[in-house]
Amino acid sequence: MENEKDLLLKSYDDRLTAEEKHRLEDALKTSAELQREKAALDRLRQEIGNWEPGFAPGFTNRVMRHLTGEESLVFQSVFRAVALSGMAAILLVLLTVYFMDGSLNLDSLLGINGYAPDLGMLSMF
Amino acid sequence: MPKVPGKYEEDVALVRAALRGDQKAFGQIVQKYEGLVAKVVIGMLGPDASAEDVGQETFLRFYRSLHQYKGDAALGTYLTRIAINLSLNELKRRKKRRWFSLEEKHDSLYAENRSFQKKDNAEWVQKALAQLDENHRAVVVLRLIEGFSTKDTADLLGLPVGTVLSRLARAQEKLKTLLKRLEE
Repeated sequence: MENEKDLLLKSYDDRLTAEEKHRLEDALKTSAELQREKAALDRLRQEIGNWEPGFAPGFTNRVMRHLTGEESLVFQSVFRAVALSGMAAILLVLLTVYFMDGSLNLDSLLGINGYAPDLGMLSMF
Repeated sequence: MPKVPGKYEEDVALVRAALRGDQKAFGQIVQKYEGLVAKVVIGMLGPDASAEDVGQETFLRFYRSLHQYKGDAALGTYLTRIAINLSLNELKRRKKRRWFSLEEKHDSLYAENRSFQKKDNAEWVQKALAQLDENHRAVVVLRLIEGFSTKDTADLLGLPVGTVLSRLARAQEKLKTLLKRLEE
């Protein structure tokens, strides 16, 4: 009987050989206990198979909100990284100019500090 | 991504649109597979807030790896794989939390398990699932609730088919006893 019960269980989830199928069919015809077992398994699998749990209404909207929030966080972090490295580069340039020229006036920033205008050229005007 | 004719074509089209930044397309994917993911995570974790979190995380993980979906498998299977792995991780985390906080062994969600009565199918199944250990619960969720084949269930859990079959047999024995007890 145990073997037939195992065969019955196997028949739901695995392939039976022709011989096993035959044996199970014969046993089901003659054994009331096996028939009860089959009925119980059928019911159990039906009850479980019909179970339809779900998330609270609005699940899709919540996922999409999460997603949008995440994307704006990614944008913010990328923006912050770019802004920080930009600031660092500007500071570096300013410091370099300051240490080279000793001042941060417009001529120094433009790299023309200490250049005298060409008087010959000016006389043309 | 190659052109995939046939049953996955609609999903592939939605994924392609989502990759181009079409959020509506991704929303359609979530709507289409929300029920499937719910069955996995609620089946594994029970209907509490962490199930919703894991459900959301399933879709967020999928979104972050959209480019990896090539349409060579059903999108449902792909999402189920993410959902079952995240659920098993969440169960591990719960175990650790219990270990450190010396909480009672059973989830508070299922605290009244021992004396439950069969009010309706949903409640019965939920509480009966909670009586199974996580390994048996996983095969029941994938095979009996989601309806994956035994082989697909084995693939999703990274187990040999024989192990899935024996776990299914043991789980059904336990569930059958529970169902019988309820009807007495």
